[in-house]
Amino acid sequence: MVQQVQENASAGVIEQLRSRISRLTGSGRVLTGKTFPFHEPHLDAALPWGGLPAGSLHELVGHAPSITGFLAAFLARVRPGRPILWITSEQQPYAPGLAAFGLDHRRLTIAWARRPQDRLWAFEDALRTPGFAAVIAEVDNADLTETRRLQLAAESGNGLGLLVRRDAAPSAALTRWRVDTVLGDGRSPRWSVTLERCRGGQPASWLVEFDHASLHFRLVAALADRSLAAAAE
Amino acid sequence: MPGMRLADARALVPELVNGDADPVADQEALQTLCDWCSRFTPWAATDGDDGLILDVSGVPHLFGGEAAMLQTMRQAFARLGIDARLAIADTPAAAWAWARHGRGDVLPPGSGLDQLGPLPVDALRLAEDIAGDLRRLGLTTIAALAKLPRAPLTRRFGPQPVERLDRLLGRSEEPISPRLVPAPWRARASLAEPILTRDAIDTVLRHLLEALCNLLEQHQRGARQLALHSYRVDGHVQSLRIGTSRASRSPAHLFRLFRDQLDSIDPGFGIDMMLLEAGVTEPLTGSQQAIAAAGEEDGGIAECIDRLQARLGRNAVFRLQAMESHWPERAIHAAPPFAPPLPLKPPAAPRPVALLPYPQMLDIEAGSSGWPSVIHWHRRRRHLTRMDGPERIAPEWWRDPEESPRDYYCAEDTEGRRYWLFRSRNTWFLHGLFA
Repeated sequence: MVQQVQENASAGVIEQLRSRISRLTGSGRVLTGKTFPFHEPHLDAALPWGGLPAGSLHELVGHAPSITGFLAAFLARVRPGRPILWITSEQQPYAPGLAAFGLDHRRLTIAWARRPQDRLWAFEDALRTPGFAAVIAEVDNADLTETRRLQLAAESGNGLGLLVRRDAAPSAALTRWRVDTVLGDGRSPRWSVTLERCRGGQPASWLVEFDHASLHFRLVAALADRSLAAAAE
Repeated sequence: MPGMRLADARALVPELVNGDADPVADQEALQTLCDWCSRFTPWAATDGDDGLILDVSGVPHLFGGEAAMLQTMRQAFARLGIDARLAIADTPAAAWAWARHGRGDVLPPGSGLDQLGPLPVDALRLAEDIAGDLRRLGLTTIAALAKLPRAPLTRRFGPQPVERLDRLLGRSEEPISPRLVPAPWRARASLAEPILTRDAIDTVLRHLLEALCNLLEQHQRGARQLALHSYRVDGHVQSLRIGTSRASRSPAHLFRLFRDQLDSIDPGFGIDMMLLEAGVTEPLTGSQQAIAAAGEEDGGIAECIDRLQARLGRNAVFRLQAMESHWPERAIHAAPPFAPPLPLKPPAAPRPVALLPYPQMLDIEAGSSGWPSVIHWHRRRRHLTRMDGPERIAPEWWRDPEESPRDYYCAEDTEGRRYWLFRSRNTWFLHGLFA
């Protein structure tokens, strides 16, 4: 029993050291491809790449419809005109709602799979396909090995993988975002956006609105980043 | 011997085994056997309760001639434990007569009455009462019947005898309606040694795909639908089907689409023939194929979507198509992945990013104003702080005569979550979620 506790403790230490090393050395891999910014200076400045880099995996947790809106707004400016694959199991994105975030439904292909392993399989296959501008997958949970495979697949296809998940298990993704609703004016969506994890970067949190007229993110406030972000972690 | 009593039959053959007739099962077994016969020729059809008819035009040379083909077929049926009577003749009617009442071999081409004449009139497949009448008149052979003048024969017995004679002698055509419609693009592998393992099936399939894709290339075509038929030595046929979203003749790509399904093939005691056919093909030039193979045109998307459809199901991969309808659930529908997309009409009022598959009836608590102040959703009470609306949407009476108009509202709760609600006939429903 004692032995096991010690093993667990040392496994934790090794994991901590690993993450420190990877933070010191960056992602361990030079990301030379394109970077896709949020076009909001504070958000982009918090990311070492100035946006989300091609050939990488990112995670999102929080309020599912808000994540959909946040992603739609971001993807509207990612490789415009290029197709996007959306892998889902229950809610289908509703095209008229996405249009308000600037995302053209004609770019979307939906893949519907009830079984989680099918969604992971489809995600990996699509990430290896260079033609997609981005691939979104709603997966309830994924372990470290699975996210490593997905990260490698994203690297090989130079794709952008966006994993919408429910749990917060350790992951090989470059960043993890939490998007949740905040009481707003009832017209434009207002979110608390938290960068919970960022390889080579620091956690941060903002209050963000989306302006449907200009199709831009707008910063309402930078939240007391460290404390809120730390609480989230 | 039809009509004989069982006791009489037992007296003649003491070791007789008897069982109840099961015509439905018999017919099913005959259909299975018919499918199995497509190993010999694509044009196979069942014939009556106990017969099969195959159009073997242009086929016998594959087996080394007509006599050799009959011999091969006889052996194949014997392996299935079926005692079959077989014949090859110029017309279906002549083959029927020669198999059942003649020698049961190859009837030489153009034989006509000199060979068929001595056969009994039953060989004409006449209705039983007509055959009986003819026999009573002493017309026992086909030759005797054929000598009679046609007009009185028709007056006395109806059109059937003349019609059947014409068919027998090839004076009128008798079409065969095949059970399996053959595809013109096919490749087949006859296996001297029946195969049993997945590895062997993979190898044969790769070989067949190579052959079929070569054939398609010669004709500048690509496959949209393929079927793989595995013929088992015990007479069963198993078929797998795949489809592609764009025409392809890339053996590697087509193999990947079959791969997941191959485990479902049960080889039983062995598979001795595999047949690959392209049911639907489209023109595909060499340069198109080269671009598709390099994935330059679309970055491999078409092939990726084929793989997703092969695994998740054809209807599980789709695009969102805008429709000319303001009824929310009809404004968008699922269309095939490469359907030409239509632009969206901007809606009159904000729309949610997620629409529930069906409107869900809501349990509400009304506030002092009579408006809902609390909704129950996902097992929680949610206090509404504001309601914007209404936006009235009327049903399209020509499509949904039973629907009532809906008054839509955008409601926000204390956490800032926003809901798309509507009221219809004084009942509240949740229909969508805003970002």
